[in-house]
Amino acid sequence: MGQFLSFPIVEVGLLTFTRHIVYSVIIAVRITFYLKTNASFKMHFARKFSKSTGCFYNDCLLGSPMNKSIPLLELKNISKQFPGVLANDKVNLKVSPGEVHGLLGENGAGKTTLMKMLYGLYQPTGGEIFYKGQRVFLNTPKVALKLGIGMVHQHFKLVPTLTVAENIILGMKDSPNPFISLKKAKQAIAALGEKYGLKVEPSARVWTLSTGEKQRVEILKALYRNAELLILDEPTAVLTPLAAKALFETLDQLVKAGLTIIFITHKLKEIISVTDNVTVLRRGKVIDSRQTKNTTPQELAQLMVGREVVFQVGKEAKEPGEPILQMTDVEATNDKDLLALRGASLTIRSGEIVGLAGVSGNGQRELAEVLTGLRHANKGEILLQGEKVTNASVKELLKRKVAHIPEDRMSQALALPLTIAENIVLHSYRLPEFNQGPILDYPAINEHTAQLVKDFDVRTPGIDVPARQLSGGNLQKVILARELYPEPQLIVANQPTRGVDVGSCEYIRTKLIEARDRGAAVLLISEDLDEVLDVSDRIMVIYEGRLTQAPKNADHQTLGLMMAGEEVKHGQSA
Amino acid sequence: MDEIFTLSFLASVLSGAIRLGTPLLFPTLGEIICERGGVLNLGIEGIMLVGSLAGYMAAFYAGGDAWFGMMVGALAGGAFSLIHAFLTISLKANQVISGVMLVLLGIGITEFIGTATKMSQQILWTWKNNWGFKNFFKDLSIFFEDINLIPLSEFATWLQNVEFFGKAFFQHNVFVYIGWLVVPLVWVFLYKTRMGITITSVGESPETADTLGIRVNRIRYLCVFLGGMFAGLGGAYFPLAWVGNWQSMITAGRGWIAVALVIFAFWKPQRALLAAFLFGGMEALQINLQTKNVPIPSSFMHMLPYLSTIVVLVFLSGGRVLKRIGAPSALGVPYERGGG
Repeated sequence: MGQFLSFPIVEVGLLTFTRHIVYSVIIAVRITFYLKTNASFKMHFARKFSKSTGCFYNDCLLGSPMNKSIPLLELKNISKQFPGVLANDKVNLKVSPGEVHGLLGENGAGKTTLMKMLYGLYQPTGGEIFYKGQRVFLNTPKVALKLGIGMVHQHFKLVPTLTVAENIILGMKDSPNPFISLKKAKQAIAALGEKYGLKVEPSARVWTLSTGEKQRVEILKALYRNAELLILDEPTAVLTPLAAKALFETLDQLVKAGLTIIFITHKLKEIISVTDNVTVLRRGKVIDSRQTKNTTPQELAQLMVGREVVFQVGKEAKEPGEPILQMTDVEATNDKDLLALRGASLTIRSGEIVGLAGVSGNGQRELAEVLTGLRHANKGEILLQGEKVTNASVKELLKRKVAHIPEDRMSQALALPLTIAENIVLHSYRLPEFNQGPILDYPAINEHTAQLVKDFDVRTPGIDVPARQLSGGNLQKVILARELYPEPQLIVANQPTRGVDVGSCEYIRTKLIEARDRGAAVLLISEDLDEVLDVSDRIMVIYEGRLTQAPKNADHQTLGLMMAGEEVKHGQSA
Repeated sequence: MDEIFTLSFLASVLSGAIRLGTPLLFPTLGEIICERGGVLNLGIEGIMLVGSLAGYMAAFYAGGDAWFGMMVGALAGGAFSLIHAFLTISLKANQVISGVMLVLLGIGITEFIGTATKMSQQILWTWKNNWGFKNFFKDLSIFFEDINLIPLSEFATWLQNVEFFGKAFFQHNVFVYIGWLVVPLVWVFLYKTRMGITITSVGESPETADTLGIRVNRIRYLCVFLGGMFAGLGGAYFPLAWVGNWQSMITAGRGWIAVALVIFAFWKPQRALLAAFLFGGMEALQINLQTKNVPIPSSFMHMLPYLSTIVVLVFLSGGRVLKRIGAPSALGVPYERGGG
């Protein structure tokens, strides 16, 4: 009989069960949406607040005319607290309509965080934002876009598989028609391109574009959304000098057309040549804000790093010793299977820094990878202290104390989800001092890391945070700290100071010179001619996979000519 | 053996390919939408099972209306897949684990509800025949009787009688032709509508979508729901357009085949049609060969989709190639605004 009764009970039980599930899901969803950020609370209050002033949320600002007398944008006491790091500390900033406002600061000074709050990607933990004199609550980029704030990110935000036109209209709801029509977008792209010198082919897929073109698409994206305030986050970091020049011309025209621009950079030259006013950030705080014409690069540099910056790194002349690296007639191909190194020969002796100048893409990366065992050499011979190491494994080369500072620090040099400590021993964890039998000796690793973090002045909330939380300059210091332990014989440094602020830059160069003074052989690959000239004992130029010795007293002009493939008469060459 | 090389044999294989390919086509399309939005949903098999039982029960209670059943099957599939959406999008759980869990849950739920009802039906049968109370549970007593199948197409009846082509292509139920129509619709949806490129952007580069004011997680929920609806339809096809009855594990692993077919179809709806009918054809061939006493074990044929997927992946190995054939860059990666 039990079985007879069971059926209705099963059914009733199921119904109740289902009802409970539905209720709890509804409650969970409501709670999640309410508690997700404290911003939703703020938004809630903002709505109420604006209602009382007779104006719904931020909408009253749309299309309101620019008033020259009040600042377009004003930040009052903006703070941003990340777990363990205060990224912005009571920042005040005023941007008047029609100006180019420079935001200067070292890596990790909080420039990008500040701008992300302005674009609605982060919510400030304190302070107020005023736009056209009205308080605004920027809780999503949608609101920022609606108000006319556009941003060109340092790492482009584009969908590579879509076309230029599709990227530009992405996310816009300008018509109720669910089907996309690219005609209007294409016309606008052509018109804007004509007006501001932003030429791109609207039907090209974004992944086929060059970096400069991608940046143009980003600017077009903002302009197409009628941006009045354009934020450019380190726009020249990825550009060739020529493309940067074109960008500056475009910016000129944009300002003439009435746009206001916030220009984030750590390059002093750009601040001087582009901006009207400049605000300097250091460690999350505004140090000073002044008119560009009343200041000098030296003064700005001092404000930025908090002390006098030595632009020339001091180093003593040193007589190089035994040859450490001897490379003869090496050939290697690049990722597209095209010949990248065509018979490259190079000798570096102990206690010598060889600077390798060249326009990027002439085989620098392949050279660094061949030397460090990451790329196969098809021909030629590499000797390390007289022993043949051609196409030796990375492990073998690590054993022979070859250090590598790769060009791409995010993907090649670090494991971003791992902690600082784990990254520090990434290449040396096999050493007996970091092991207890088969088990990693974490206390020893942590102690070692703490020491290096202190020695190299890495600014981090702790040694057990994931590497991805650190800024570029600090990551580079982590890499340097790792590679200089245990003391290497050969250091291959590929663009060690690219995208790094002045303070860290100087520090990294000093460390390389220290390593050389200890007797290491250093290959410094750099596109920054000042760096090559300052740091190197000897300069080589790479052009289309071949290395040429530069004259001993070569200057910018000579090197520039050699980098462009011109034959230079070795008048007084060594 | 001679019987195999005849036109009528070919026609019945082709006809089978279409009949057996349709329940692969729908979940494959669904998974394509889902994966293009950046969410890997391995739970297709479970969703199909839920769709099949829900569809069948709904059709039964609606007095044998298979169309109503299809609708409910789709909705149930969508609703069931929201579990996956909640776990992987809101809670950022591992998508592979969540998907496999969904399959097991789907099997469990359908076994439980299906078997419980089946058992109670046996009890009712005993009750009715031994102690009377006839018509007391009348409605329930016919629960596991067949319902009206989705009808055969009445479109162009003259074509059905055409030699060879009629049998191969035009003697199917209406739902098969709906499948043919849905493929171009999905293509238009994915490539030519605002929502379609939004989905692509969310699957390729969620950060970009976020900076343009697109609610990444909301779009992903939608993708998973749509994918679940298609899978539910695929599941409901079995009892409502094919078998006419529900039994446990009715989908027989076809959900897994659909997941493999997405790679085979390079994430493109037009190729999904080809892929689904190709693998439907393999199964049809095996069935037809068995009736002609050519013994090829069905398990061998079931292995083929995976084997061919492996072969495809071997030839197109490497992340760069996968990218080129259309694998969404952010597939399987939960989205979180970086830095804090």
